[in-house]
Amino acid sequence: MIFCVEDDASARELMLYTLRVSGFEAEGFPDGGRLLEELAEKRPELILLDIMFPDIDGMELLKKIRNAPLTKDIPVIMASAKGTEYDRVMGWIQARFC
Amino acid sequence: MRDVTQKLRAEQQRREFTANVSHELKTPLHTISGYAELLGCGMVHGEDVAAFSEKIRTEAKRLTQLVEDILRLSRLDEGVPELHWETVDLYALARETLASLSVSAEAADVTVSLEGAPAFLWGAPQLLSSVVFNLVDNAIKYNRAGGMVTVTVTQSGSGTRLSVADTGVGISQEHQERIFERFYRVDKSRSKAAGGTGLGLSIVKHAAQIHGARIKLESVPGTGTIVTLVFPDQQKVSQSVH
Repeated sequence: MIFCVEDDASARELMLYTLRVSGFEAEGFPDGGRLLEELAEKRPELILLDIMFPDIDGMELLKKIRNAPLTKDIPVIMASAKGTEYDRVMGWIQARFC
Repeated sequence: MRDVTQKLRAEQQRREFTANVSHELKTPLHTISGYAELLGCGMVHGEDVAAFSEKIRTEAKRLTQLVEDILRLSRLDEGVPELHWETVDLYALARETLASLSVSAEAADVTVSLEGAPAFLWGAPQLLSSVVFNLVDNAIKYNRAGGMVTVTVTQSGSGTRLSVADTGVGISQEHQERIFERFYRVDKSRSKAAGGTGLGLSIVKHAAQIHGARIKLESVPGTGTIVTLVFPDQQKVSQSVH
């Protein structure tokens, strides 16, 4: 199961459709709050995570996932329109050290 | 020693605006290119093709609207030298602008009405039309099914008054200070679903400033919002423009 967290409905639908026609099981979430609720119940094999959300910054969300014993080993791919060198470095730092 | 607080704040706002523009432009572009790629490589089931084409069209429309709003704001920042000024009947202008919103009002099941009487002011019709359009468009988008939007235009000794009242979701106190900022959204998910660019109220604010108008916002969450613009009388505006 792959969890996709993306607040833009069209972009989220696109990700889910592509994954599903490629043979993956996928579930989508519009914000960080709903992802965290679901993570309390289910354990996906991968999380695709956007950075800009209305409720919580994607980097903060990544930190929460990395700091929780039950979710710290789930692989996370940051998938965002934010692609500057700064954003990439920040994503890497959060994933590795926070 | 010089106080550079203002300069730093302006620089910070410029950086945030650039980051927001970049993000807001890239998101629909990525979606368009993603759906086009899926269609192109034959991964889309036959029954989904029409829906995907419609999504591309919707995203392209959103992008067009965003680019138009950015250009409009950019022109306003530069002082809009090409604007045509004339004596405008705000009531007639509001009536014409409301006609262009009738389809979206009907789709949202919101009744829009115009009250008041002919009221004249010295202004740029193109810009005033943007003001009415953006205020009423928001009042429709953030309303409820079966809701109302009432546009009122009146003239008195103190000037010309335009108010747009809705029976929508309202805006809590913490957001009221910031809703005229560029790309500030009270509810980002709802704004995107409604097709907003996040720039409409900034355009209203700039246009009001150019016309010397004051903006007043009254809102009660869950009940509705009233935005009122008070334009100074024609003579005063005319003197400040020339």
